[in-house]
This record gives sequence, C-alpha cells and structure tokens, in this order.
Amino acid sequence: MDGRRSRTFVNAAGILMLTTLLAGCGSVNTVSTRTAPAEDSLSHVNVQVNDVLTDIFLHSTDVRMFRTRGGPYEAQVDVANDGFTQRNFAYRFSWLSPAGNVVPSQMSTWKSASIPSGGASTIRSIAPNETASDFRLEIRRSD
Amino acid sequence: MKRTPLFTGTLIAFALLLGACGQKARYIETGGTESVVSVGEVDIQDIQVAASGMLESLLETGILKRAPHEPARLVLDRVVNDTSSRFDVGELLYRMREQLVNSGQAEVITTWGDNPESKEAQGIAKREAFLNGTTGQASAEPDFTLTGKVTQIKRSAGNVRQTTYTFRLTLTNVNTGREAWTKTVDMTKQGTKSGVGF
Repeated sequence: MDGRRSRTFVNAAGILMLTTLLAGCGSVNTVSTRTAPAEDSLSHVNVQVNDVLTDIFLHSTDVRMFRTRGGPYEAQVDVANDGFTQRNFAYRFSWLSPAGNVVPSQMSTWKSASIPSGGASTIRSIAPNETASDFRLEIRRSD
Repeated sequence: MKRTPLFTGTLIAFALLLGACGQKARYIETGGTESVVSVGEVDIQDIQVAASGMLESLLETGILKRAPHEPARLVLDRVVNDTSSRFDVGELLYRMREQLVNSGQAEVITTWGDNPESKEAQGIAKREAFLNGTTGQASAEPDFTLTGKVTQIKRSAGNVRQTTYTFRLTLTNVNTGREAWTKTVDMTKQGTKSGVGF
C-alpha cells in the first residue's frame, strides 16, 4: 500500500511540476484577420527560409518583398514559434545587386530577436539602394 | 615524503589545465554574435543596430529625395549622449554618414554644425567670406539639420538588471523650420552580468 501511495504522490507531484513549468513559459496565442496570402508573398522563397529556420525549431509563415515609399525594396519574413519554449536567435540580412553581388552596407548587421512559445514576429530589412533586388538571410540560434 | 613528487606533478598538471582553459586573444567580427554583451553599457553592436535602424528609416521614407538639392545637404548638429555609458556619438553618426555620403544619397556640410572636424573648413569659409565681402554660406546652404539624443532607463528586480537605451534622431528642414523626419530605436538588455555572445 505504502509503495503504491508514494508512486501516486510522485506522479501527482510530477504532473503539478509540469503544469507549473508550462504555465511559467507564458505561451502566446496568435490570431490574424488576414487569412489570404499577402500580395507580395514570395512562396518559393518561403520554402528555402523554412529550411533554415527549422534548424532552430522555428518556421516561416510568409516571406514578402515590396518597394517602399522611398524606392528601395523591403523584405519581411514572418517567423512563428510553435514550440513550448521561448526561442532566441540572431539574424542578418545582406542585399544583392541585380548581378548577384553583395552590396556592402552599414545596414547589414546582426540583430537579435526573441519569440515566445506560440508567438510570431516579423523580421525585416530595407535594401541600401534601389537597385538591390535580392536578399540573403543568415540566422543563428542564441543560447 | 614519498607523496611529494606525486603532489607536485598533480599541481603542475592542474596549472597546465587551467592555462589551457584560458581564452587567448583573437579577432572576432565587429558587432558579430560573439561580441560581449553588457547590461549597463552601450556595446558596439547596439550602435551598429541603431545606425542600421536609422538608415533604414531614412531610406524607406524617401525624405532625402524630397530635398531641394540632390544629393540632399545635411548638417550634423548636436547629438547628446545622456546615458551613464561613455561612448562617442560619432560612432553612430560616422556609420550613417559613410552609408549616405558614399552612396551619393546625401552630402554632409562640414562647415556647419557641431562636429569637431568642421572647424578647419569653417575657418577657411569664414576667411573667404571676409575677403569676398559675402556671408559665405550661399554655396553650402543645407536642406536639413540632424539632431538627436541617446537616453537610458535602468531598472532592476533582485539581481536582474535591465537597461533600455533609446537612440532618437530628428531631421529638421532648415527652410521651413519643421521636423521632416524622426526615428527612435530602442534596445533593451537584461541580465545579472555581462556575457559573451548573443
């Protein structure tokens, strides 16, 4: 009897601890009124971005690129965290000329981002000039 | 007495092990993910991110294209560091200047403003103006002046310290006296002590 009782106690304590842990994570529920893909969506790029993000247990829901009011392109990548823990990562955009060469720029820097469990965030970058028409995205997991 | 050589050997091995653990000086990418992250100081990566955010905003709004002159003429005026962290605001401004001037999107008038390197050119311009009997400012009429401030908000809870650094810059149209563009870039760091990498 004593053994069974202590096992039950251990199980109950385990469940309680797990519940407390999950509640402590402060997961976010995300909802949007937009259900259709954006007009500037780059679905073929989204697949490639997802390949990179999967390595750090994140995924991309959409990648968009469009001209800003000032002329240069803006890239936006929607990143979602479906995991149970907060994810921290660093990212860097580099822009490419039409010939495929990297455009050196003071704007290409490592930036940090953090997405809570169940949350989503948009990482973005503006091209350094109007001719830059492609981008390269580097992502690194932060511990 | 028999234990002495063993004890000495162990000590030497331990010392060697400790020596091997120490990190040798090496080069890292400036502002890269291996950089030191300080809670109570502005780090180089913070300045880089702030300059990047400011430049992105300037380009996406296209404010420089709407200037009377092309490229737009800028005067770098006072940018105040109102934080407890000691750093030169030129670290921010020079990064922005490099991008804007070298890409042909703006010209910085160094005979005006609050930047120290303008004093030489300022003196020459004044001398020329005096000799020609003019004001000496017509040849370099600016379109915008750039001013700004860097501030901080520090908070703590127990051992955890948190600092938010806010970089704010404003472009004022000198012809109208109105604010033409403004941008704020926030950076919040939290922790108990400085760390390596982010």
